[in-house]
Formats: sequence, structure tokens, C-alpha cells
Amino acid sequence: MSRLVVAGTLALCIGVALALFLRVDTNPSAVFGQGAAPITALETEAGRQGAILIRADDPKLEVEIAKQAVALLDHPAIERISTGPDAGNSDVLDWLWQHRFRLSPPRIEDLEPEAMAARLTEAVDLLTSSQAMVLGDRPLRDPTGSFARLIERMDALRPELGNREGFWHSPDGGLLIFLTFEDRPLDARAMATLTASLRGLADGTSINLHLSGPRFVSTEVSAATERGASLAGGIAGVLLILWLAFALRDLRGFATVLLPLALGLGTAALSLQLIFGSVHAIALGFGGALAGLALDYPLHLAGHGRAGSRRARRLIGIGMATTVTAFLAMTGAGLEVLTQTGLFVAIGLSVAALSSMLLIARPAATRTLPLERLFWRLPGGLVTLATISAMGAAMVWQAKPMIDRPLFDLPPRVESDLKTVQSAAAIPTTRHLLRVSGETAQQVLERETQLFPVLDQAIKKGEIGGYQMAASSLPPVSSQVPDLPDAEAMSSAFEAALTVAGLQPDYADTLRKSYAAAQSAVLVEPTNWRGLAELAPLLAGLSIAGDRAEDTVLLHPPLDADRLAARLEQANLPGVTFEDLADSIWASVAELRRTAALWLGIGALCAALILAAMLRNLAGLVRILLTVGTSLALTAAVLTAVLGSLTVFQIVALTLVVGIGVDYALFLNPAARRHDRVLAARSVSLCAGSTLLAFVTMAWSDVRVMGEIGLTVSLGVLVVVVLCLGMMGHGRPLASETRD
Amino acid sequence: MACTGSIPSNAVEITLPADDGALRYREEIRHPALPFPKVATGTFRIGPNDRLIRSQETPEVEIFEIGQDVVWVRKAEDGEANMLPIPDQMRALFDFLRTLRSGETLVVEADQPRSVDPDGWTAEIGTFDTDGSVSVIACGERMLGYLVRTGDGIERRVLFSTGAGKSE
Repeated sequence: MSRLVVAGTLALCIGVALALFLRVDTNPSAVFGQGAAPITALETEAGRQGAILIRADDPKLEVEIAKQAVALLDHPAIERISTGPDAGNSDVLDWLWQHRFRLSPPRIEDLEPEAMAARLTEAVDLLTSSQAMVLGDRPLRDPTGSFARLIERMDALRPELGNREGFWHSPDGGLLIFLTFEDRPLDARAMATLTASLRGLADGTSINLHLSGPRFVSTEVSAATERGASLAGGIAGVLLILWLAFALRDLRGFATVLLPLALGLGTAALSLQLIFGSVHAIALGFGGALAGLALDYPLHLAGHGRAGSRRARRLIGIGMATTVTAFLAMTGAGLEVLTQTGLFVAIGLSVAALSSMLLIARPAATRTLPLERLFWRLPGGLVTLATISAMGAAMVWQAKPMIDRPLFDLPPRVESDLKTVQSAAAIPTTRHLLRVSGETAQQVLERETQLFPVLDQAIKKGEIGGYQMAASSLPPVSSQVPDLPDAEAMSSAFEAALTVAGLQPDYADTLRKSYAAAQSAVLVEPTNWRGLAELAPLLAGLSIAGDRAEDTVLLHPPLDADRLAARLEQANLPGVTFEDLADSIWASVAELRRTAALWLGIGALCAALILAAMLRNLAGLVRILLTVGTSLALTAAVLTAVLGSLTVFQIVALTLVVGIGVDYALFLNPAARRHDRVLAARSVSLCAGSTLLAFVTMAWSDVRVMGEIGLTVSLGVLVVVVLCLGMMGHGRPLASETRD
Repeated sequence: MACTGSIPSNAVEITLPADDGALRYREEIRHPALPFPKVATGTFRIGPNDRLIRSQETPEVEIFEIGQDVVWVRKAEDGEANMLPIPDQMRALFDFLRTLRSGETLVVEADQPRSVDPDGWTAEIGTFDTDGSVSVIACGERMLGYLVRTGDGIERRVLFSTGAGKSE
């Protein structure tokens, strides 16, 4: 009893320490490494954009909620927000004014006095309109209409969003706020708080608040995964407790089984917290999934009772050393999440095994299932195992990996939000884009001009919904001033136009000077466009560094990537490349899968060596390795056949199958004495029951990653048990042994 | 009635003329190209959220709701608003008017350049670009209007239509 009290107190202390100090992080760089595509995708200009759409029946309520959202967006994670057109920058107007003849050259007919008189009359009327506040009297100083047409064109290119009470207003209804996140790695915790606060504005009201943008999506997928994991964990926990209550009969037995598990997991989590300063959610998740395996040790001891406890301790020691070695090898992979997972499992299992042995000195009687009645004889024995194993491995090896199988599903609300905001605000896709490069910004704009007809044709054919590029915001600046009459020759035309318009003829001198200045304006290479507030959002994709300029062309859905790629290939425009950002993301995921598989393979080899050294029985070693190997190959083959390929999470889950398989195969030894075989069958029934309860529950989870892990482990454990029982038939029959 | 007082040399605490909630104005735009001023009329009032609202009635209806950095312009009272940035030079003037329109007084400091004006006296309250300026036009302690001049000879003179009182 005193050992139980000490262990209970220790578990309590560890629990308190974890409650106080445990910090769970979801940093993606721990999974993919620094600079990998899945992380940088959230750090690109497109990855840092977001939008909020607020819709309510009452327009005043919409404005009120939008204001509250703006207050919440005054947040360290947000670099800037846009609720309407940016405040003007007179430098932009000055630049457009100076270069108007290059940007929007007048036609010869625009220089006729009658045409200029009409323009002057319009310009006089503009003096009492709101436009004069922005444009001043520039339209009056340019009777050729060059500047007015340029402004009209830029106005037409503005987003088709209205404005209500200071907020962008979608033609589909609702107010929009656009935001840009700070240019630094995603802080998952801060994002989760911000997202929850924004969602909270609409909770319990009739308001619809829709969030869009890669960082919001990432945060909400994480939250949905966490909720799914909690639900599956809760249900599995209840079922496990009921199962253990049935098997262990009394509270003391219950405590002796659960305390090693609690100590193992608690010590593992605390150790990682001390070593790394935080514990990654994936390492913690797999640690939680390990519950099934860590629980096996006390259950084996309990299931063996007093008579078999010595043998059980020895086999637990071998099983634990083998599994721990396999997982410790993962620390060599160089990825923090794999290192953490390896250490978590190693520490958790070691502590659970040792504390089981210390706590369960005199195992109490348990209620078990008579698994020994299911012993059967696998025809061909080891040869059959070797054959199945080879076939399964070949099937997995030859299967073409489905590299774009998603790891996570979008929660329905997130998917619906993306579509709603997309439709309301015409937001471009963040997956596909075009890059246009050149030696200068001017060359980029000229190349984009050549791209216009190709993309316009793609819109007509339904390959893209639209596009957005620097040249569609601003025409390329012609390097040549168009061939126009000189200013002196225009003087009489200006005078005539002023007279026709009823204005002062002597103002012609001002018009002449203005015309001459536009004609002789020295071209300013617009390298500083991005510093001009009005153009900055339109030219966000344009980058100029040294002798290379590049612009990102954003594409609007719906998008048919294959047909668009074919069209662009056929057009063969210089400096234009089509990119699918998902390619680099899937390459990173595939690399992670290769790394995990490689180091788990190395771990398996190390574990086999440890097993050989501790077992010192070649026949037993071959049987165990073949049984476990066949279970692994068969499980992987079935999953590959059903799902197409294995994800990295399934590969790591298979290591649990290996750990469990080694334990079961160690205990279910056909060469053991009859009594030991019966005890082993019963303890394995206890362990398999608890493991299957946990993982079958997980397999039903609607979180894809949880479901796949649950399915993998459940199937694997089932195959291991069936094959171990099949090999038991190769020992002496229980009945004949009884007759001996 | 013309203002007969002299230019005050000390700091002056000025107020807007009394009105019934909407202060009428007449704006004359003088431009070197125009043989005569272009005229616009309308009212100033304080709207919801303490925003200054300038409602132009002629020659075309435009309602300007003046915020801190931007102006929302509507073609009708319940029309869709178009947002425009406030030019730097106008920001000080709008702040000045908003304060006065809220019923408060403002002090025109003694060192602010003053000059004689056909309607009374002017005090320059801000400059922009190289030779642009924004001035208030007053008679005694009563503000009559304002004047925005740009360097290229353009002048926007806005006079409130309640009339000028006699200088004290």
C-alpha cells in the first residue's frame, strides 16, 4: 500500500508541475524544418493576407461589429488593416501627372480645339465637385484629356467594392476588412486567441462573421483537430475505464494499472518541457496514443498473476528495451518533432515499465478473456509468414505514392467561409500564381502587357476567373514620348479651345507650359512605386532587387490549372512562369515521410539487435521478427490498397504496431510451457482489449489524421494478435500437454 | 454690411455666427482661366459621431462627411458613399471648423499672419506646398468664412451667409 501512496503522490506532483509549467506548441518548423514550404507558405505576402466579412440583417449592427473587429485587430500579430481606400499620397498624382503623355498619350483628334474645349468645360465643372479635392485643377491644365483618361482608367481598376460608414462594402452584401499579418512566423497561440475573439463577436447573435486567409485556416484546422482529439480521447477514456473496471475488479487493481501509465506519460511530458522549453502537440498526441502500449505492462503483470509474474517481468523488460531502442533512433532524424516523439515514447515506456514492476509485486486476480481457445495453426508457419511479408512489402513498395493526399480536412465552417469571402471580395487563389521576371521593372510591365491577351483568352475559356498584376494597376511607362506637335505649335489651338469654352484666352500660356513639361518630362524609373501609398496594395507583388525585377500575378478562381499551364506553355512568353505552390508543400511532406520512414527503419534494425542480444534464442528471434514483420507488411499493404498510400502519421503509427507486436509475440511463445501460454493468452487479451478500445474509438474520429492513426493501429493490432495466435498452434496442443 | 473694424493685433477668441443648426455658406472659386468665379452653395452642420458635414446644394448635390483622414462623399442623403482622402492642407481647416461648429471657441494667436480683407480681416492658420495657404476670414471675434489659396492663382473663398457684424 505504501508503494501505491508514494506513486500516487509522485503522480500528483508531476500533474501539478505540468499544470503549472507545461507549454504545448504547434510550431510547424518543428515538423518540417526551418524554411520548408508549408511554413514559408504562411510567410509569403499571399500567406500573410486575410479578410473578414461581416453580414447582418441590420446595417447598423454590421457597422458596430465591424468597429469591434477593428478594435480586436489592433493586435501584435497584425501589421496593417484596410477598411477602405488608403489615404492619398500626392507623390503618386504628381508622378502620374508628369508622365501622363507616356502613360496615356493623347490621340491626334484629342488635340483639335473643339475636343479640347469640351474637355475644358468638363474640367471647370469638376472644380465644384469632390474630385477637385484630390485632383486639384489638373484636368483644367490638360485639355488634351490625357490625365483625365489616366485617372478614369485607374478608377476603373479599383476593386468593385463600395464603402459604407468607412468600411469596404461587398456588392453581395456585408462589410469587409482586409488585413495583413506581421512578417514573422505564425504564433499559433496568439492566432488562436485572436481567431476566437473575432468569432466571439458573432457568437449567440444573428450576425454572420466569415474569416478567410491561410493563417486563419491553419488556426481553425488546428482547433478542429484539437476538439476532435479531445472528443475521441474522452470517449476512449470512458470505454477504457469500463473495460479495466470489468477486468481488474477492485480499486487497488485499478490504481496499480493506471499509476504506471500516469507516471510514464507525466514524466515524459515534464522531461520534454525541461529539455525543449515546450512540448510539441504532435509529440504529445503520439504520447497520448501510446497509452495503449504503456498500459500493456501493468496489464501483462496483472494478467499473469503471482505464478507468472517472474516470466512477465523478464518479457516486459525485453519488450520495453526493444521498443525504447526503436523510438530513440528517431532522435537522429534531425527534426524536432521526431526527436521529441522518440524521447517521449522512450521515457514514457521506460518509466511505465519500471513503475509497473515496482508497484505490482503481488498481482491480484483479474477477469480475462480465454484467448487460448482461439489458438490455431497457421499453415506453413514461418514460410507462410515470410511469403506474406514479402508480398505485402512488395505491394507497398510498388504502390505509387499519392503525394497530394491531404493530412487534414477543412472543417465545414472554414470551407464555407472561404467560399463566401471569395465570392464577396473576389480574393485570388493562394495556391497557383504566375511570376513575371525581367531585368527592370519596366521590362516586367512590358512582359505583363504581352500576357494580357493570353489571360483574357483564359478567362473567356473559363480557365481562370480573373487576374491581378502590376501592369493591370498601371500601364507600362513608354520609353518614348509619343510623336506630338510641339508646345509652340499648340498655342493657337489652346487659345481657340479656351475661347470656345468661354474661358480666358490668355490662360493658353499656362496650358502651353504644362503641355511642354509633359512632353519633355524625364522618365523616372519607378523603382520607388511601392513607397507610394496608393499604389502599394496594387503593386504588392512587385519586387526589385539589384538587376532583377519580378512581379507576382495573382489568379482568381475558378481555376483550371492544367489547361492554363498548357495555354501558357503554348504562348511561350519570356520571363513568365506558372507555379503551383502546393508542389513545394507536398515535396516537403514527402521529404518528411521519407525521413520518418528512414529513421524508423534504422530504429527497427537497432531494436532487432537488442532483441537478439536479450533473447539469445535464434528460433524465437526469427519467429518474433517474422510475426511482427508480417503484421507490419500486411497492415501497410491493406492500408495502401484502401487509401492509396501511407501518410507520415500512419508510418509513425505503424511503429506502435511494431512495439505492441514485439510484446505480444514475446509473450505468446508456442515453445513455452502450457501454463505460461495460457497466462500469456489471458494477459494479451487484457492488453489487446484496452488497445483496441482506444484505437477503434480513434478510428471513428472525423479528424482525418486521428481516424487514420486509429485505423492503422487497430488493424495492426488485430493482425498481430491473429498471427501470434496462428503461430501458437505450432507448439504442442494445450490438450495434449494437459494429458502429459 | 461691410466690416468696419481694424485688424486686431492681439490673440482673438473667435466664434461662428449663430444659426439654426445648419450654417449656410457660399463658395467662390477663382481661377486664372475663369473670367468670373465659379460658385457653389450649401450648409455646414455637425452630424452623427460629431462628424462635420458639408452639404453642397448647388451647382450639384454632394454631401461630404468629414472624418479624421478621409471624407465620405454621397450624391444623395441615403446614397452609396465614396471615400476620398483629405488633402493635407484641408485637414487643419476641417479640424478648425469642426471645433467651432461644436459650439466651442478657438484662439487665433497674435503671431499668425494677418491682413486686410474686403470682408474684414484674415489670419493665416496653415500653409502647404511652397506658397499655398489656409486663412480664416473674420470680423472682430466672429468668423465669417475661410480662404484657401494655392500657388498657381487659385482661390477658394467660403463665406457664411449670416452676415458680418460690426467690429468692436
